[in-house]
Amino acid sequence: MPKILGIDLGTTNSCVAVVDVTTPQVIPNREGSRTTPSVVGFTEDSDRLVGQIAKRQAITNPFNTVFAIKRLIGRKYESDEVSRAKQVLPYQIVSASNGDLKTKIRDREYSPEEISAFVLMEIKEFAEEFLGETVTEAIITVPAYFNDSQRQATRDAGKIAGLDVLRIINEPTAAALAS
Amino acid sequence: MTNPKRTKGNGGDDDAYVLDDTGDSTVEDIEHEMEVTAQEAADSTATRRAKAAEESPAPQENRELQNRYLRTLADFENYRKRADREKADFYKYALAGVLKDLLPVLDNFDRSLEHAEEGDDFHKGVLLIYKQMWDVLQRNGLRPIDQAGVPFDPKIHEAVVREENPSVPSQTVTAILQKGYFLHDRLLRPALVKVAVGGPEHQG
Repeated sequence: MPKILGIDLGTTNSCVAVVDVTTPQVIPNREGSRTTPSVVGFTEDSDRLVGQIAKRQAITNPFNTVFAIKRLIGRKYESDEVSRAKQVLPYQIVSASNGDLKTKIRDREYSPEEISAFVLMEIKEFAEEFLGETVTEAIITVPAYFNDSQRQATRDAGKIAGLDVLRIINEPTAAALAS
Repeated sequence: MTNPKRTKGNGGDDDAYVLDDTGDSTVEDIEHEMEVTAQEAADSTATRRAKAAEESPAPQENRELQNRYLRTLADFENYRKRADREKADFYKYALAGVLKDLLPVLDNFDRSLEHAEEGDDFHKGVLLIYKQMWDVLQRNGLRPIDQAGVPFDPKIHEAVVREENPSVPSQTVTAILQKGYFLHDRLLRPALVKVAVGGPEHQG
């Protein structure tokens, strides 16, 4: 039966699990760690680094390393949260044509959905490697306070990563289901 | 064996007749018995067939069950492969936890050697113990990441300090602040490094 990934797409770290026959099991990433930093780095040679690797080079490449994108996803450029974030985040945030925001990295603009999708792609890849089969469906958790726009953006991020997002569920709900 | 058959067949016959008869009517008896047995066998086959027809699931349900069986089989096959791989990995990296805990000890050896005077008796002694320990660890698959002057590689290096240094190409590791280690080909701990920026761009 095709497996469905359960993904906790976090602000700082992300985690993925799959129901293995009867019980949920966390899938370790390539480095053997059970969580993967939600960090995306873009190198000089236009390589894209995701996860622990991106985090390690953050200090040498602060303007081109995107982290905590979950704070910005699905929000308007003019909102208070975004203006506050702009003051503390090292990477550049610009306004998109529809009033949303984009991050500007090395003359290319990425929407928060795309950045989240890079993290999801990485998760999908190592999960497939671990399971030995391709995966196309996932469930993603979001904070209970996320509004419709933020949920839709999270869903879109899944779609960009090649995942059919069957459900968006609230993090507290997921926690309750797991216990 | 023949008696009960006869009794059954003849219904209300008395016991005396049956007892008398046991001796001489074998051929007739056997023939009769064969008939009865054949009849019974035929009957039971028919019943079984009818029963089977009644119980047999609809073809669709059958297909569904077969499908589910095949999927479970495939799932199990995948599971087995994964379990095998995990087992192999487990053997290979079983020491990872212990070695990781031992790394701070190695770090302290490094520090003490750095601070002692070279050629000093203390230095010599510590160096000998360190070497002995290092040999053991190396035999068990531990490899250091301790080369400075190489291009920064986030796969094995963790940048903790960034310095303006135009004399070397940008993104060069200028110093190892804490050694990193591999166990076989898995990274146990990245090296903490100082990275130069502001120099000429790296080639390639």
